Amino acid sequence: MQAEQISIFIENKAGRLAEVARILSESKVNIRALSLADTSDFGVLRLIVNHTSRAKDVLKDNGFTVRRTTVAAVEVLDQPGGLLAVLDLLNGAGINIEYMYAYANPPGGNAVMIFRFDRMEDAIELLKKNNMRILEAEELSGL
Amino acid sequence: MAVAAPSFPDNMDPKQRAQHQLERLQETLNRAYRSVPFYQTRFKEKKIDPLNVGSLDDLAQLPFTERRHLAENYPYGLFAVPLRDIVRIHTAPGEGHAPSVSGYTTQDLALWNNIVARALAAAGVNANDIMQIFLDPGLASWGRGYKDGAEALEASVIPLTALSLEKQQMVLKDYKTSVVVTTPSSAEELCQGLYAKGINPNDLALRTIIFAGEPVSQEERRTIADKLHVDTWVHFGLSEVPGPAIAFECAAHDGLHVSEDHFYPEIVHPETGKPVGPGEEGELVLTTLTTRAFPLIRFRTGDRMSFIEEPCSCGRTLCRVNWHKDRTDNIVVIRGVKVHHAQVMTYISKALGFTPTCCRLLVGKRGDRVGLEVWLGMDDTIFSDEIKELERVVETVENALAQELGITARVRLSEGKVECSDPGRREVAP
Repeated sequence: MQAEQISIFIENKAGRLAEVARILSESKVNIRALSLADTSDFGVLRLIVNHTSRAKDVLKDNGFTVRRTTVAAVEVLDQPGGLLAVLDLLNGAGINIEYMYAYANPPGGNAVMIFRFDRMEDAIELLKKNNMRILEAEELSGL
Repeated sequence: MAVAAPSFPDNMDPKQRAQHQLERLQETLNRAYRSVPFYQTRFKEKKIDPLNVGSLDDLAQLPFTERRHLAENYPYGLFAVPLRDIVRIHTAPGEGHAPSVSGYTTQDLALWNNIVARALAAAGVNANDIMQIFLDPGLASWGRGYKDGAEALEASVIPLTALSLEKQQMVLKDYKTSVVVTTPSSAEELCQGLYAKGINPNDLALRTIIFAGEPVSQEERRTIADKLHVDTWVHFGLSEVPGPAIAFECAAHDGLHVSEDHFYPEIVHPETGKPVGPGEEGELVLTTLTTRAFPLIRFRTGDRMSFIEEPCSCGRTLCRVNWHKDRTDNIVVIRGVKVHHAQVMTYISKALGFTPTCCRLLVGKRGDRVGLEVWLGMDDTIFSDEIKELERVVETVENALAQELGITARVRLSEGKVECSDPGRREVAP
């Protein structure tokens, strides 16, 4: 019930993001969701792609430091309070969100948010128990 | 109480001085052989009996002492006298796992007073001067050397204290400091600080700046001299045999005179270890001739120098050297503090609990302040997809380095493998 994300370390300088995009494009990897967390010196690029292993390998071959992390892709109702409902649940259970970002262009009208929690399994169990839909890895990379 | 070996007149006939040097060298070698197992073993390996060293040229047969040997013999392994005779112990950042520790007998301290006083006197320092010592904590042992040397000349000394730049400026102005001992980097900061505050150099009593710790280019000197209306003088020293003012400038400002009666200098090719030709650049190798507690035989300094063959116009016959900016080893000099690549890796590993793949040392600038910049190569162990974890790594390493080295260090995380700094190249961070 967990999706796979790759994170890439990049220095905060011109052209680095384009370089990652170029490498993935040449390997026919499609980027499904993306978030960039940055400081003045460096950033961490987090991606959900259609071919996780291939993407990790080609980036590594090109000298990047890459890590695979599990995340949860949670369907959020596309209406006021949709996100709040999810956050309230987690908050009530004392689960912290390490980071989160939105999925580009999800099907079916609803939004999909990618979450990394401090207690992944507890969070997923809690969300499912409360009838939140969590997308499968295949579902996600095939979107 | 034994008396420190005297300095000979600065204008002594070189042949006569060489004779005295030989006698002092023989005495030093004998003492090192008799009292320090490290030297005895190494002399024996080369089948050298110090009693057979009959000329200064014979010294070249002896093995070199390197910085790593100081760490390997931590803390007291290279002392040549019983600990009860030691009256002072100094620590300098070393190479590898341990710092360099050196000891002094009462005579040694008196000796250093003479050496430093001689160098200060050559820069015109006298009893009428107020001398302010402004060095980073990493050079604390030099601070004491300069204090003692200046007191021997009866100058008034404002010793090295942990004051902010702001306070140093206040002292400089209000206390009517006439001489400042500092590194070129700190002098530049002081100068910029004074200008920023709108203090006109004419309001200061300052007339002399003595540069210690790192070589300085003509251009940098001129800038500081012009801006602060001062004469500048360069001193060379070692932090391992603390150490300041082993070589010093005279009024001719043309190279540095070596205190040859206390140190025997050689300049060798850094790779082959053979002496360089006349006037050629190479690595300075020093042998102590008079220190009792901590004799060093053929110590490789890593400093790049060349002998000046012509006699000096000042009349001193003490040999002269030019001190060049690049080094022959893997050390970066930051604000006079020697930072060794392997040492930094050790500190980083200790702080992180694992050894990162690679790091590179550069001279960086944060605002006006020169400091160490460490580029830490990203690898699978350091990497986290959470920014706060990466920031924690930066902070942990910066704190550890500041504490261990006594200078500010800025850590930058770099993509992938960063090449280890080229030996000897003073790399300035972009």
